Amino acid sequence: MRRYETLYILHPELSEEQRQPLFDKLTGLMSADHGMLVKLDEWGNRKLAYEIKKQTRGYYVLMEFCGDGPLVKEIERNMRLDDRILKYLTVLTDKAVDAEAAKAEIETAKAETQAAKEEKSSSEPTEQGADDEKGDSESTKAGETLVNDTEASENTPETSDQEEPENGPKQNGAE
Amino acid sequence: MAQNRMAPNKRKRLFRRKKVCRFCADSSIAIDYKDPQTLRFFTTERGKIIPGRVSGNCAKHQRKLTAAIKRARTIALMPYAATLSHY
Repeated sequence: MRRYETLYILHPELSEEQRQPLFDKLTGLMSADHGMLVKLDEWGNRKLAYEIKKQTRGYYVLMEFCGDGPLVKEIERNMRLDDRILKYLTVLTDKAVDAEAAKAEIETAKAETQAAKEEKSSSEPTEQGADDEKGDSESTKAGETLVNDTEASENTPETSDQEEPENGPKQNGAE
Repeated sequence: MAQNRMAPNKRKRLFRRKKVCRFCADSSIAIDYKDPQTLRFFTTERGKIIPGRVSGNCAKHQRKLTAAIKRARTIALMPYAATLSHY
């Protein structure tokens, strides 16, 4: 069994109730073809780098799953037919996956999402608790982004240095 | 210029900082097509991929970077061609 991830863009004006049947359909395809869904990550509405089907925004969804070639073919065929999906990209992430290891991962992922949900629901009534828990769960993420930012700031002077020589060939080309 | 090319080792050497592959130097930066923020440092404002000889990336990482940028373009995370006002 192989592991794939598909990143696809949904129409931005779909409501949550309209999205759900689509996810159900895709997971249905997986179970029909001996595959299984590992993770479904909704990135939410993002700005597209270029227009797709006259849309400037899109709802990104990342789907990680295990399966084989025919399953990918079937999923992509369905995505092509579906008007709600603007574009998709499937990438092979692992050539050989243990079915059992994948199952274990699915369960941990499920537990995580459930825990997150419970955290949200339990923290809603007491505002202080909500803030604390959110802070905890997001602290790692914030740390990561911070690291990226510092790297970015380190990188920027270098790239600006490097862009200078790049102007040379461009001008030559123009001549 | 021509003389410089003829005898590069004789005097008249401009000082140039040694470029280091950023991904070799810091293994914590992963090349991932899903992370356009990082990839953006290796494209021009217009969205063109900066060549390895300019950015200083080693051949191995430059290949991976190019593939990642092209994937990101396919799924509209990065532009094929951006107008300057876009940024």
